[in-house]
Amino acid sequence: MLLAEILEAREELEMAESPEEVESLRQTNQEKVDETIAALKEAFTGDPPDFQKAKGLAVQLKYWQGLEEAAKEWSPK
Amino acid sequence: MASIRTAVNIPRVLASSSRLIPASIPISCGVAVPRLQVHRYSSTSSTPTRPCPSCNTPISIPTSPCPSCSKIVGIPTSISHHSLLHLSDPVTNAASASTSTFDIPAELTRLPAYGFDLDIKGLRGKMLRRQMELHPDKYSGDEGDVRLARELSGRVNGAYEVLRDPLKRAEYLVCSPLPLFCFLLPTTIFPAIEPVAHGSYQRKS
Repeated sequence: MLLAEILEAREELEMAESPEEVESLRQTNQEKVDETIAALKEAFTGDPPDFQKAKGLAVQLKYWQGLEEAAKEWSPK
Repeated sequence: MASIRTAVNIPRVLASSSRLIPASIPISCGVAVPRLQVHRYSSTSSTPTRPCPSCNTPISIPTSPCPSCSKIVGIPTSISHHSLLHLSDPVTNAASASTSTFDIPAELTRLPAYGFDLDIKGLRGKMLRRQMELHPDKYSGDEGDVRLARELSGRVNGAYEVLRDPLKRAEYLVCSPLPLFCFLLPTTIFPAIEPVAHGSYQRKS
């Protein structure tokens, strides 16, 4: 489930102790962003486009992007 | 589903979005959005035009300035971001005789992935060309023209900012069939964990 996945990723970021850990988290996150964008493209490609699905994916994208913002701001304790 | 039925459904969808959906609801069972019928139009013969206010030449919307006398010409505010950046041509609303209302879903249906699939480099090129055409410095002779150029280049910038960003682009496209969809978009659905996005990690440092 997405919410659990996001909360878990956030917790991981919270617990991170080194820039390397954060970097690997950001890489995984970037993959999520790319996957979500690809899924959005697919949702819009339908005839008619699947707007409901696209809306859900936009929500997901917003959260992955939020995580990236938080990871960029990370600094060691 | 007939379009009239879709229209009737909107208030119910809106009502349920704000109050009845708990913040923790999983995405997979999100708000019921009416499935939309996107009408396919047989290709309209020509792009809509309007006469140049200075030399009266018909100019296709959204071309500006006038190709024959170089006068800067207004662009209807209701055209799509895609049309404003010359990524597609506007489709006039078949139900309306006026050339100033546009059927954006019909236009987007003609584009790959409903206008989501964009070449970002190409997009930037179109934006820069448009900014050159509409640069206020080009129209320094006339105060009204300068104002119009400022307004139009501002709109071009705004459209570019939306289309270059996949999230903003997706939100724009989801809103396009029914502007009321905008009320249902992300922030209103999961407000609960949003504040975590910024701030909490900064506080530690």
